[in-house]
Amino acid sequence: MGAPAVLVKARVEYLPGIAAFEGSFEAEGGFTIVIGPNGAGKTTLLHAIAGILSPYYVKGDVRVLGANPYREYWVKKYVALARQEPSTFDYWCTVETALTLYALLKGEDAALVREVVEELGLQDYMHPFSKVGTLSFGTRRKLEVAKLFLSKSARVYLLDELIGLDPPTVNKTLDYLRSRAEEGACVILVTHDPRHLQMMTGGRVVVLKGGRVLRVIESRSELEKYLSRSLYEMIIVVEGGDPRAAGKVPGVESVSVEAGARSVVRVRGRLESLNSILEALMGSGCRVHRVEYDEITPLFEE
Amino acid sequence: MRSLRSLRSSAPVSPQLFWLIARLNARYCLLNPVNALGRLISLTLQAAILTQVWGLNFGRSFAVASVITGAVGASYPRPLPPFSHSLLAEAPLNPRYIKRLNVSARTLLAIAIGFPSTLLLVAPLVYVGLLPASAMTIRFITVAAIIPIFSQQTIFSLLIFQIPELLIRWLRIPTGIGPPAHPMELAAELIRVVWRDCVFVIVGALTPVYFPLASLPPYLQAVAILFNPYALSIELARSTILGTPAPAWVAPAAFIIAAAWFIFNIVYPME
Repeated sequence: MGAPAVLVKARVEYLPGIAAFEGSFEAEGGFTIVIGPNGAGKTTLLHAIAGILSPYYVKGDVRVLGANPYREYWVKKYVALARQEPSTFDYWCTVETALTLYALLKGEDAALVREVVEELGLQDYMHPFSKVGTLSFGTRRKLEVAKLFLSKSARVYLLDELIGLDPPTVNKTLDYLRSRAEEGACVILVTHDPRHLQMMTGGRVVVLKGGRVLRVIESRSELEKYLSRSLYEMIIVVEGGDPRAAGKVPGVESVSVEAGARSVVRVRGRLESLNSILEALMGSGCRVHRVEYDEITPLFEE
Repeated sequence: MRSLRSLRSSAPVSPQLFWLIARLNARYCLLNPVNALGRLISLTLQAAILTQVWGLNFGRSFAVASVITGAVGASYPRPLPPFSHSLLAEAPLNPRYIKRLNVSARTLLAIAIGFPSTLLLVAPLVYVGLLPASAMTIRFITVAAIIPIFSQQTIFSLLIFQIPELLIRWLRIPTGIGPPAHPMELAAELIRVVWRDCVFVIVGALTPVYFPLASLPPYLQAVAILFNPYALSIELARSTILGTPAPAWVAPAAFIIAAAWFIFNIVYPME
Protein backbone atom coordinates (compact mmCIF):
# COMPACT_ATOMS: atom_id res chain seq x y z
CA MET A 1 0.00 0.00 0.00
CA GLY A 2 1.41 3.40 -0.99
CA ALA A 3 1.77 6.48 1.16
CA PRO A 4 -1.42 8.44 1.83
CA ALA A 5 -2.09 11.53 -0.29
CA VAL A 6 -1.89 13.67 2.82
CA LEU A 7 -0.01 12.82 5.99
CA VAL A 8 0.48 15.17 8.92
CA LYS A 9 2.42 14.25 12.04
CA ALA A 10 3.19 17.59 13.54
CA ARG A 11 2.68 20.19 16.21
CA VAL A 12 1.77 23.68 15.06
CA GLU A 13 2.42 26.59 17.39
CA TYR A 14 1.64 30.20 16.63
CA LEU A 15 2.55 31.23 20.15
CA PRO A 16 5.29 29.46 22.10
CA GLY A 17 3.87 26.62 24.20
CA ILE A 18 0.33 26.74 22.79
CA ALA A 19 -0.46 24.07 20.17
CA ALA A 20 -2.99 25.10 17.53
CA PHE A 21 -2.79 21.55 16.16
CA GLU A 22 -1.01 18.50 17.48
CA GLY A 23 -1.14 14.90 16.39
CA SER A 24 -1.46 12.92 13.23
CA PHE A 25 -3.88 13.19 10.34
CA GLU A 26 -4.14 11.17 7.15
CA ALA A 27 -6.30 11.48 4.07
CA GLU A 28 -6.51 9.32 0.99
CA GLY A 29 -8.17 9.91 -2.36
CA GLY A 30 -11.88 10.59 -1.85
CA PHE A 31 -13.86 12.90 0.39
CA THR A 32 -12.80 13.75 3.94
CA ILE A 33 -14.77 16.13 6.12
CA VAL A 34 -12.93 17.71 9.04
CA ILE A 35 -15.36 18.94 11.64
CA GLY A 36 -14.93 20.60 14.99
CA PRO A 37 -15.89 23.63 17.07
CA ASN A 38 -14.29 27.04 16.60
CA GLY A 39 -10.62 26.98 17.56
CA ALA A 40 -10.32 23.23 17.01
CA GLY A 41 -7.35 23.66 14.65
CA LYS A 42 -9.17 22.90 11.39
CA THR A 43 -7.88 25.90 9.44
CA THR A 44 -4.41 25.44 10.89
CA LEU A 45 -4.43 21.84 9.67
CA LEU A 46 -5.44 22.92 6.16
CA HIS A 47 -2.78 25.64 6.06
CA ALA A 48 -0.12 23.15 7.13
CA ILE A 49 -1.23 20.78 4.35
CA ALA A 50 -1.22 23.63 1.82
CA GLY A 51 2.41 24.40 2.76
CA ILE A 52 1.74 28.01 3.65
CA LEU A 53 2.96 27.71 7.24
CA SER A 54 6.71 27.94 7.61
CA PRO A 55 8.71 25.41 9.64
CA TYR A 56 8.98 28.18 12.24
CA TYR A 57 5.39 27.28 13.20
CA VAL A 58 5.21 23.62 12.10
CA LYS A 59 7.32 21.16 14.08
CA GLY A 60 7.16 17.67 12.66
CA ASP A 61 6.39 16.12 9.31
CA VAL A 62 3.85 17.18 6.71
CA ARG A 63 3.66 15.16 3.48
CA VAL A 64 1.47 15.85 0.48
CA LEU A 65 1.83 13.33 -2.36
CA GLY A 66 4.99 12.24 -0.59
CA ALA A 67 6.61 15.68 -0.56
CA ASN A 68 6.94 18.39 2.07
CA PRO A 69 4.72 21.14 0.67
CA TYR A 70 6.74 23.98 2.20
CA ARG A 71 10.24 22.88 1.21
CA GLU A 72 9.35 20.98 -1.98
CA TYR A 73 7.24 23.83 -3.29
CA TRP A 74 6.65 22.18 -6.69
CA VAL A 75 3.99 20.01 -5.08
CA LYS A 76 1.84 23.09 -4.52
CA LYS A 77 0.82 22.86 -8.16
CA TYR A 78 -1.23 19.83 -7.14
CA VAL A 79 -2.78 21.46 -4.08
CA ALA A 80 -5.73 23.85 -4.35
CA LEU A 81 -6.82 25.79 -1.28
CA ALA A 82 -9.96 27.88 -0.85
CA ARG A 83 -9.37 29.92 2.27
CA GLN A 84 -12.02 30.74 4.83
CA GLU A 85 -10.82 34.33 5.03
CA PRO A 86 -10.89 35.51 1.39
CA SER A 87 -7.47 37.10 1.52
CA THR A 88 -5.59 35.47 -1.34
CA PHE A 89 -5.81 38.40 -3.72
CA ASP A 90 -4.74 41.95 -3.07
CA TYR A 91 -7.61 44.39 -2.76
CA TRP A 92 -6.46 46.69 -5.56
CA CYS A 93 -6.02 43.86 -8.03
CA THR A 94 -8.80 43.49 -10.61
CA VAL A 95 -10.84 40.30 -10.57
CA GLU A 96 -9.66 39.32 -14.04
CA THR A 97 -6.00 39.90 -13.18
CA ALA A 98 -6.39 38.02 -9.89
CA LEU A 99 -7.88 34.91 -11.46
CA THR A 100 -5.55 34.96 -14.48
CA LEU A 101 -2.57 35.34 -12.20
CA TYR A 102 -3.71 32.42 -10.07
CA ALA A 103 -4.23 30.22 -13.14
CA LEU A 104 -0.76 31.09 -14.49
CA LEU A 105 0.92 30.54 -11.14
CA LYS A 106 -0.67 27.10 -10.94
CA GLY A 107 0.55 26.31 -14.45
CA GLU A 108 -2.97 26.26 -15.90
CA ASP A 109 -4.22 27.74 -19.15
CA ALA A 110 -5.35 31.36 -18.69
CA ALA A 111 -8.27 30.65 -21.04
CA LEU A 112 -9.74 28.54 -18.24
CA VAL A 113 -10.61 31.72 -16.37
CA ARG A 114 -13.49 32.60 -18.74
CA GLU A 115 -14.91 29.11 -18.33
CA VAL A 116 -14.80 29.22 -14.53
CA VAL A 117 -16.16 32.76 -14.40
CA GLU A 118 -19.18 31.69 -16.43
CA GLU A 119 -19.68 28.58 -14.33
CA LEU A 120 -19.73 30.56 -11.09
CA GLY A 121 -21.65 33.53 -12.49
CA LEU A 122 -18.86 36.06 -12.00
CA GLN A 123 -19.14 37.65 -15.47
CA ASP A 124 -20.24 41.04 -14.11
CA TYR A 125 -17.04 41.30 -12.10
CA MET A 126 -14.80 40.97 -15.14
CA HIS A 127 -15.14 44.69 -15.77
CA PRO A 128 -11.69 46.34 -16.07
CA PHE A 129 -12.40 48.55 -13.02
CA SER A 130 -13.81 45.78 -10.84
CA LYS A 131 -11.25 45.35 -8.07
CA VAL A 132 -11.19 42.65 -5.43
CA GLY A 133 -11.43 45.23 -2.61
CA THR A 134 -14.77 46.51 -3.88
CA LEU A 135 -16.45 43.11 -3.72
CA SER A 136 -18.68 41.87 -0.92
CA PHE A 137 -17.53 39.14 1.45
CA GLY A 138 -19.68 36.56 -0.36
CA THR A 139 -18.26 37.41 -3.77
CA ARG A 140 -14.71 37.30 -2.46
CA ARG A 141 -15.54 33.86 -1.05
CA LYS A 142 -16.66 32.92 -4.56
CA LEU A 143 -13.24 33.99 -5.83
CA GLU A 144 -11.71 31.63 -3.29
CA VAL A 145 -13.88 28.80 -4.57
CA ALA A 146 -12.99 29.76 -8.15
CA LYS A 147 -9.41 28.83 -7.22
CA LEU A 148 -10.54 25.21 -6.81
CA PHE A 149 -12.21 25.25 -10.23
CA LEU A 150 -9.09 26.79 -11.81
CA SER A 151 -6.82 24.09 -10.39
CA LYS A 152 -7.58 21.37 -12.90
CA SER A 153 -4.27 19.62 -12.26
CA ALA A 154 -4.72 19.49 -8.49
CA ARG A 155 -4.69 16.15 -6.64
CA VAL A 156 -5.52 17.63 -3.25
CA TYR A 157 -8.44 20.05 -2.82
CA LEU A 158 -8.79 21.92 0.45
CA LEU A 159 -12.01 23.83 1.11
CA ASP A 160 -12.17 25.80 4.32
CA GLU A 161 -15.85 26.30 5.21
CA LEU A 162 -18.87 26.96 3.02
CA ILE A 163 -19.83 30.20 4.75
CA GLY A 164 -20.75 33.22 2.67
CA LEU A 165 -21.70 31.19 -0.39
CA ASP A 166 -25.17 31.05 -1.88
CA PRO A 167 -26.84 27.60 -2.16
CA PRO A 168 -26.29 27.24 -5.96
CA THR A 169 -22.57 27.93 -5.51
CA VAL A 170 -22.40 25.47 -2.60
CA ASN A 171 -24.06 22.81 -4.77
CA LYS A 172 -21.83 23.50 -7.77
CA THR A 173 -18.73 23.42 -5.59
CA LEU A 174 -19.66 20.18 -3.87
CA ASP A 175 -20.65 18.55 -7.18
CA TYR A 176 -17.31 19.57 -8.66
CA LEU A 177 -15.37 18.30 -5.65
CA ARG A 178 -17.32 15.04 -5.62
CA SER A 179 -16.48 14.48 -9.28
CA ARG A 180 -12.81 15.19 -8.56
CA ALA A 181 -12.93 12.80 -5.58
CA GLU A 182 -14.42 10.09 -7.79
CA GLU A 183 -11.47 10.57 -10.14
CA GLY A 184 -9.12 9.83 -7.25
CA ALA A 185 -8.34 13.30 -5.94
CA CYS A 186 -8.12 13.88 -2.20
CA VAL A 187 -10.78 16.37 -1.13
CA ILE A 188 -10.74 17.80 2.39
CA LEU A 189 -13.71 19.92 3.46
CA VAL A 190 -13.50 21.76 6.74
CA THR A 191 -16.65 22.81 8.56
CA HIS A 192 -17.98 23.44 12.04
CA ASP A 193 -21.58 22.82 11.07
CA PRO A 194 -22.85 19.23 11.65
CA ARG A 195 -25.56 19.80 9.02
CA HIS A 196 -22.90 19.65 6.32
CA LEU A 197 -22.25 16.03 7.27
CA GLN A 198 -25.62 15.14 5.75
CA MET A 199 -24.20 16.06 2.34
CA MET A 200 -21.62 13.35 2.70
CA THR A 201 -22.34 10.21 0.75
CA GLY A 202 -19.05 8.42 1.41
CA GLY A 203 -15.55 8.95 2.71
CA ARG A 204 -14.39 9.81 6.20
CA VAL A 205 -15.17 12.30 8.91
CA VAL A 206 -12.44 13.53 11.22
CA VAL A 207 -13.53 15.27 14.41
CA LEU A 208 -11.08 17.81 15.81
CA LYS A 209 -11.17 19.56 19.16
CA GLY A 210 -8.58 21.58 21.02
CA GLY A 211 -6.01 21.01 18.25
CA ARG A 212 -6.27 17.21 18.48
CA VAL A 213 -7.99 14.52 16.45
CA LEU A 214 -10.85 13.40 18.66
CA ARG A 215 -12.31 10.71 16.46
CA VAL A 216 -12.12 9.30 12.93
CA ILE A 217 -15.43 8.06 11.50
CA GLU A 218 -15.09 5.68 8.58
CA SER A 219 -18.65 4.55 7.78
CA ARG A 220 -22.11 5.99 7.37
CA SER A 221 -23.54 3.89 10.22
CA GLU A 222 -20.78 5.04 12.55
CA LEU A 223 -21.52 8.61 11.53
CA GLU A 224 -25.23 8.21 12.24
CA LYS A 225 -24.40 6.80 15.64
CA TYR A 226 -22.05 9.67 16.37
CA LEU A 227 -24.50 12.32 15.24
CA SER A 228 -27.23 10.82 17.38
CA ARG A 229 -25.23 11.98 20.42
CA SER A 230 -26.03 15.55 19.56
CA LEU A 231 -29.45 16.69 20.72
CA TYR A 232 -31.01 20.07 20.10
CA GLU A 233 -34.06 21.67 21.59
CA MET A 234 -36.00 23.38 18.80
CA ILE A 235 -38.81 25.79 19.62
CA ILE A 236 -41.20 26.35 16.73
CA VAL A 237 -44.13 28.75 16.98
CA VAL A 238 -46.94 27.72 14.63
CA GLU A 239 -50.54 28.64 13.91
CA GLY A 240 -53.28 26.17 12.88
CA GLY A 241 -52.74 22.68 11.46
CA ASP A 242 -51.57 19.70 13.48
CA PRO A 243 -48.40 20.55 15.46
CA ARG A 244 -48.01 16.90 16.52
CA ALA A 245 -46.99 16.05 12.94
CA ALA A 246 -43.45 16.96 14.02
CA GLY A 247 -43.30 13.74 16.07
CA LYS A 248 -43.42 11.57 12.93
CA VAL A 249 -40.10 12.83 11.59
CA PRO A 250 -37.10 10.46 12.01
CA GLY A 251 -34.51 11.72 14.47
CA VAL A 252 -37.08 13.43 16.74
CA GLU A 253 -36.93 12.19 20.31
CA SER A 254 -39.83 14.06 21.91
CA VAL A 255 -42.44 16.67 21.06
CA SER A 256 -44.46 18.80 23.45
CA VAL A 257 -47.10 21.24 22.34
CA GLU A 258 -48.40 24.25 24.25
CA ALA A 259 -51.68 24.81 22.48
CA GLY A 260 -53.16 28.25 21.97
CA ALA A 261 -53.91 30.74 19.22
CA ARG A 262 -50.32 30.19 18.33
CA SER A 263 -49.00 26.83 19.48
CA VAL A 264 -45.46 26.43 20.78
CA VAL A 265 -43.92 23.14 19.63
CA ARG A 266 -40.86 22.01 21.61
CA VAL A 267 -38.92 19.32 19.81
CA ARG A 268 -35.89 17.45 21.11
CA GLY A 269 -33.93 15.87 18.32
CA ARG A 270 -31.13 16.24 15.82
CA LEU A 271 -30.63 19.56 14.13
CA GLU A 272 -30.47 17.93 10.69
CA SER A 273 -34.12 16.99 11.21
CA LEU A 274 -35.18 20.64 11.39
CA ASN A 275 -35.96 20.98 7.67
CA SER A 276 -37.98 17.75 7.70
CA ILE A 277 -39.85 18.91 10.82
CA LEU A 278 -40.76 22.20 9.19
CA GLU A 279 -41.88 20.40 6.04
CA ALA A 280 -44.02 18.03 8.12
CA LEU A 281 -45.58 20.93 10.04
CA MET A 282 -46.35 22.87 6.88
CA GLY A 283 -47.65 19.69 5.25
CA SER A 284 -50.16 19.34 8.11
CA GLY A 285 -51.44 22.87 7.53
CA CYS A 286 -49.37 24.75 10.16
CA ARG A 287 -48.13 28.28 9.46
CA VAL A 288 -44.65 28.61 10.94
CA HIS A 289 -43.98 31.94 12.66
CA ARG A 290 -40.69 31.52 14.49
CA VAL A 291 -37.94 28.94 14.91
CA GLU A 292 -35.25 28.86 17.61
CA TYR A 293 -32.83 26.10 18.49
CA ASP A 294 -30.19 25.41 21.08
CA GLU A 295 -27.76 22.51 21.52
CA ILE A 296 -28.44 20.66 24.76
CA THR A 297 -26.01 17.75 24.30
CA PRO A 298 -22.77 18.96 22.68
CA LEU A 299 -21.52 16.95 19.73
CA PHE A 300 -17.84 17.68 20.19
CA GLU A 301 -17.31 16.00 23.54
CA GLU A 302 -14.88 13.18 24.26
CA MET B 1 -2.31 8.61 -10.81
CA ARG B 2 1.05 9.49 -12.30
CA SER B 3 4.22 8.75 -10.39
CA LEU B 4 5.82 11.28 -8.10
CA ARG B 5 8.81 11.58 -10.42
CA SER B 6 6.66 12.50 -13.41
CA LEU B 7 4.73 15.01 -11.32
CA ARG B 8 7.95 16.64 -10.24
CA SER B 9 9.32 16.86 -13.76
CA SER B 10 6.28 18.84 -14.85
CA ALA B 11 6.42 21.35 -11.98
CA PRO B 12 5.61 24.67 -13.56
CA VAL B 13 7.77 27.70 -14.00
CA SER B 14 5.46 29.62 -16.22
CA PRO B 15 7.16 31.25 -19.21
CA GLN B 16 4.54 33.99 -18.99
CA LEU B 17 5.54 34.96 -15.49
CA PHE B 18 8.27 37.40 -16.40
CA TRP B 19 6.03 39.10 -18.92
CA LEU B 20 3.32 39.33 -16.28
CA ILE B 21 5.64 40.89 -13.72
CA ALA B 22 6.73 43.51 -16.23
CA ARG B 23 3.12 44.23 -17.16
CA LEU B 24 2.00 44.60 -13.58
CA ASN B 25 5.04 46.65 -12.69
CA ALA B 26 4.34 49.03 -15.55
CA ARG B 27 0.75 49.29 -14.46
CA TYR B 28 1.53 50.28 -10.91
CA CYS B 29 4.68 52.33 -11.37
CA LEU B 30 5.07 56.01 -10.56
CA LEU B 31 3.81 57.20 -13.94
CA ASN B 32 0.33 58.11 -12.84
CA PRO B 33 -1.25 61.55 -12.24
CA VAL B 34 -1.53 61.23 -8.45
CA ASN B 35 2.13 60.39 -8.05
CA ALA B 36 3.13 63.14 -10.47
CA LEU B 37 1.08 65.78 -8.60
CA GLY B 38 2.41 64.56 -5.26
CA ARG B 39 5.96 64.82 -6.58
CA LEU B 40 5.38 68.37 -7.82
CA ILE B 41 4.09 69.48 -4.40
CA SER B 42 6.98 67.74 -2.70
CA LEU B 43 9.52 69.41 -5.03
CA THR B 44 8.04 72.84 -4.36
CA LEU B 45 8.33 72.32 -0.61
CA GLN B 46 11.90 71.07 -0.90
CA ALA B 47 12.83 74.00 -3.13
CA ALA B 48 11.38 76.43 -0.58
CA ILE B 49 13.50 74.84 2.18
CA LEU B 50 16.66 74.84 0.03
CA THR B 51 16.07 78.52 -0.88
CA GLN B 52 16.06 79.41 2.81
CA VAL B 53 19.05 77.23 3.71
CA TRP B 54 21.34 77.90 0.76
CA GLY B 55 20.25 81.41 -0.12
CA LEU B 56 19.88 80.42 -3.79
CA ASN B 57 17.01 81.69 -5.88
CA PHE B 58 13.89 79.53 -5.95
CA GLY B 59 14.46 78.37 -9.53
CA ARG B 60 17.89 76.98 -8.84
CA SER B 61 16.69 75.36 -5.59
CA PHE B 62 13.90 73.73 -7.59
CA ALA B 63 16.50 72.42 -10.03
CA VAL B 64 18.50 70.86 -7.17
CA ALA B 65 15.42 69.26 -5.67
CA SER B 66 14.30 67.99 -9.09
CA VAL B 67 17.57 66.27 -9.85
CA ILE B 68 17.82 64.66 -6.44
CA THR B 69 14.23 63.51 -5.99
CA GLY B 70 13.69 62.84 -9.68
CA ALA B 71 16.40 60.26 -9.74
CA VAL B 72 15.42 58.84 -6.37
CA GLY B 73 11.78 58.66 -7.45
CA ALA B 74 12.66 56.47 -10.39
CA SER B 75 13.69 53.77 -7.96
CA TYR B 76 10.19 53.60 -6.45
CA PRO B 77 8.07 51.48 -8.76
CA ARG B 78 5.50 49.98 -6.41
CA PRO B 79 6.41 46.44 -5.36
CA LEU B 80 3.98 44.39 -7.42
CA PRO B 81 0.72 44.73 -5.49
CA PRO B 82 -1.08 41.79 -7.15
CA PHE B 83 1.55 39.41 -5.81
CA SER B 84 0.19 39.25 -2.28
CA HIS B 85 2.05 37.15 0.25
CA SER B 86 -0.98 34.86 0.48
CA LEU B 87 -0.98 34.22 -3.26
CA LEU B 88 2.76 33.65 -3.48
CA ALA B 89 2.57 31.25 -0.54
CA GLU B 90 0.21 29.06 -2.57
CA ALA B 91 2.26 29.22 -5.78
CA PRO B 92 4.39 26.21 -6.72
CA LEU B 93 7.45 28.39 -7.10
CA ASN B 94 10.60 28.84 -5.13
CA PRO B 95 9.95 31.95 -2.99
CA ARG B 96 13.52 33.07 -3.59
CA TYR B 97 13.13 32.61 -7.31
CA ILE B 98 10.07 34.81 -7.47
CA LYS B 99 11.72 37.46 -5.32
CA ARG B 100 14.71 37.49 -7.65
CA LEU B 101 12.44 37.86 -10.64
CA ASN B 102 10.68 40.66 -8.81
CA VAL B 103 13.94 42.47 -8.01
CA SER B 104 15.26 42.03 -11.54
CA ALA B 105 12.06 43.27 -13.16
CA ARG B 106 11.92 46.30 -10.88
CA THR B 107 15.56 47.09 -11.48
CA LEU B 108 15.19 46.88 -15.25
CA LEU B 109 12.11 49.05 -15.07
CA ALA B 110 13.83 51.58 -12.82
CA ILE B 111 16.81 51.75 -15.19
CA ALA B 112 14.48 52.18 -18.14
CA ILE B 113 12.75 55.06 -16.34
CA GLY B 114 15.69 56.40 -14.31
CA PHE B 115 18.16 57.42 -17.00
CA PRO B 116 15.72 59.10 -19.40
CA SER B 117 13.82 60.80 -16.58
CA THR B 118 17.02 62.25 -15.09
CA LEU B 119 18.11 63.37 -18.54
CA LEU B 120 14.71 64.91 -19.24
CA LEU B 121 14.89 66.77 -15.92
CA VAL B 122 18.42 68.04 -16.37
CA ALA B 123 18.34 69.09 -20.04
CA PRO B 124 15.68 71.83 -19.78
CA LEU B 125 17.14 73.07 -16.49
CA VAL B 126 20.54 73.47 -18.19
CA TYR B 127 18.88 75.12 -21.19
CA VAL B 128 17.16 77.80 -19.07
CA GLY B 129 20.34 78.34 -17.07
CA LEU B 130 19.22 76.93 -13.73
CA LEU B 131 21.92 74.24 -13.92
CA PRO B 132 25.49 74.66 -15.15
CA ALA B 133 26.41 73.06 -18.48
CA SER B 134 28.64 70.59 -16.61
CA ALA B 135 25.47 68.85 -15.41
CA MET B 136 24.89 67.54 -18.94
CA THR B 137 27.63 64.95 -18.66
CA ILE B 138 27.18 61.21 -18.77
CA ARG B 139 28.89 60.98 -15.38
CA PHE B 140 26.44 63.29 -13.65
CA ILE B 141 23.34 61.75 -15.22
CA THR B 142 24.53 58.23 -14.52
CA VAL B 143 25.49 58.75 -10.89
CA ALA B 144 22.39 60.79 -10.13
CA ALA B 145 20.18 58.04 -11.58
CA ILE B 146 21.93 54.78 -10.82
CA ILE B 147 22.71 54.84 -7.12
CA PRO B 148 19.18 55.21 -5.77
CA ILE B 149 17.87 52.66 -8.26
CA PHE B 150 20.20 49.92 -7.15
CA SER B 151 20.65 50.57 -3.50
CA GLN B 152 17.61 52.31 -2.04
CA GLN B 153 15.45 49.24 -1.42
CA THR B 154 18.24 46.94 -0.40
CA ILE B 155 20.08 49.10 2.10
CA PHE B 156 16.99 50.63 3.67
CA SER B 157 15.19 47.30 3.81
CA LEU B 158 18.19 45.70 5.49
CA LEU B 159 18.77 48.54 7.91
CA ILE B 160 15.25 49.44 8.86
CA PHE B 161 13.19 46.26 8.58
CA GLN B 162 15.31 43.14 8.36
CA ILE B 163 17.76 43.68 11.21
CA PRO B 164 15.13 44.38 13.92
CA GLU B 165 13.00 41.43 12.71
CA LEU B 166 16.01 39.13 12.93
CA LEU B 167 16.69 40.45 16.42
CA ILE B 168 13.06 39.92 17.50
CA ARG B 169 13.05 36.39 16.12
CA TRP B 170 16.42 35.59 17.68
CA LEU B 171 15.08 36.74 21.06
CA ARG B 172 12.03 34.44 20.52
CA ILE B 173 9.66 37.32 21.13
CA PRO B 174 6.18 36.29 19.94
CA THR B 175 4.60 38.86 17.68
CA GLY B 176 1.14 38.96 16.21
CA ILE B 177 -0.80 41.11 13.81
CA GLY B 178 -2.30 44.37 15.00
CA PRO B 179 -1.59 46.52 18.03
CA PRO B 180 0.45 44.93 20.83
CA ALA B 181 -1.72 42.93 23.23
CA HIS B 182 1.04 41.49 25.40
CA PRO B 183 4.08 43.03 27.12
CA MET B 184 6.38 40.97 24.87
CA GLU B 185 4.67 42.29 21.75
CA LEU B 186 5.06 45.76 23.16
CA ALA B 187 8.77 45.08 23.63
CA ALA B 188 9.04 43.96 20.00
CA GLU B 189 7.25 47.08 18.82
CA LEU B 190 9.58 49.23 20.93
CA ILE B 191 12.61 47.56 19.37
CA ARG B 192 11.24 48.33 15.91
CA VAL B 193 10.41 51.96 16.69
CA VAL B 194 13.66 52.77 18.45
CA TRP B 195 15.72 51.03 15.78
CA ARG B 196 13.90 52.71 12.90
CA ASP B 197 14.14 56.17 14.45
CA CYS B 198 17.83 55.81 15.27
CA VAL B 199 18.62 54.62 11.74
CA PHE B 200 16.60 57.47 10.21
CA VAL B 201 18.38 60.04 12.34
CA ILE B 202 21.84 58.63 11.55
CA VAL B 203 21.17 58.31 7.81
CA GLY B 204 19.52 61.73 7.70
CA ALA B 205 22.43 63.35 9.52
CA LEU B 206 24.85 61.81 7.03
CA THR B 207 22.99 63.05 3.94
CA PRO B 208 25.15 65.72 2.31
CA VAL B 209 22.38 68.06 1.21
CA TYR B 210 23.47 70.97 3.42
CA PHE B 211 27.20 70.24 3.67
CA PRO B 212 29.86 68.62 1.46
CA LEU B 213 30.85 65.04 2.24
CA ALA B 214 34.45 66.19 2.54
CA SER B 215 33.57 68.18 5.65
CA LEU B 216 32.88 64.94 7.55
CA PRO B 217 35.66 62.93 9.28
CA PRO B 218 36.88 60.09 7.01
CA TYR B 219 35.20 57.28 8.97
CA LEU B 220 31.85 59.09 8.83
CA GLN B 221 32.30 59.63 5.10
CA ALA B 222 32.73 55.88 4.72
CA VAL B 223 29.61 55.18 6.81
CA ALA B 224 27.60 57.73 4.83
CA ILE B 225 28.67 56.31 1.47
CA LEU B 226 28.08 52.70 2.45
CA PHE B 227 24.80 53.03 4.30
CA ASN B 228 23.15 56.07 2.82
CA PRO B 229 21.95 55.20 -0.67
CA TYR B 230 21.60 58.87 -1.59
CA ALA B 231 24.94 60.17 -0.31
CA LEU B 232 26.97 60.01 -3.51
CA SER B 233 24.31 61.17 -5.92
CA ILE B 234 23.35 64.07 -3.64
CA GLU B 235 27.00 65.02 -3.22
CA LEU B 236 27.46 65.06 -6.97
CA ALA B 237 24.23 66.99 -7.55
CA ARG B 238 24.99 69.70 -5.04
CA SER B 239 28.61 70.12 -6.14
CA THR B 240 27.56 70.35 -9.79
CA ILE B 241 24.78 72.81 -9.11
CA LEU B 242 26.82 74.99 -6.75
CA GLY B 243 29.77 74.87 -9.10
CA THR B 244 32.15 73.34 -6.56
CA PRO B 245 34.32 70.47 -7.82
CA ALA B 246 33.31 66.97 -6.66
CA PRO B 247 36.07 64.56 -5.65
CA ALA B 248 37.31 62.44 -8.58
CA TRP B 249 36.50 59.19 -6.76
CA VAL B 250 32.76 59.88 -6.56
CA ALA B 251 31.81 58.32 -9.90
CA PRO B 252 33.90 55.11 -9.63
CA ALA B 253 32.82 54.68 -6.01
CA ALA B 254 29.21 55.06 -7.07
CA PHE B 255 29.56 52.34 -9.66
CA ILE B 256 31.34 49.94 -7.31
CA ILE B 257 28.77 50.39 -4.54
CA ALA B 258 25.85 50.17 -6.97
CA ALA B 259 27.22 46.97 -8.48
CA ALA B 260 27.84 45.44 -5.05
CA TRP B 261 24.34 46.19 -3.78
CA PHE B 262 22.78 45.04 -7.03
CA ILE B 263 24.49 41.66 -6.78
CA PHE B 264 23.52 41.41 -3.11
CA ASN B 265 19.94 42.29 -4.03
CA ILE B 266 19.72 39.57 -6.65
CA VAL B 267 21.34 36.88 -4.52
CA TYR B 268 19.53 37.76 -1.27
CA PRO B 269 16.34 39.57 -2.18
CA MET B 270 14.88 41.15 0.92
CA GLU B 271 11.20 41.84 0.39
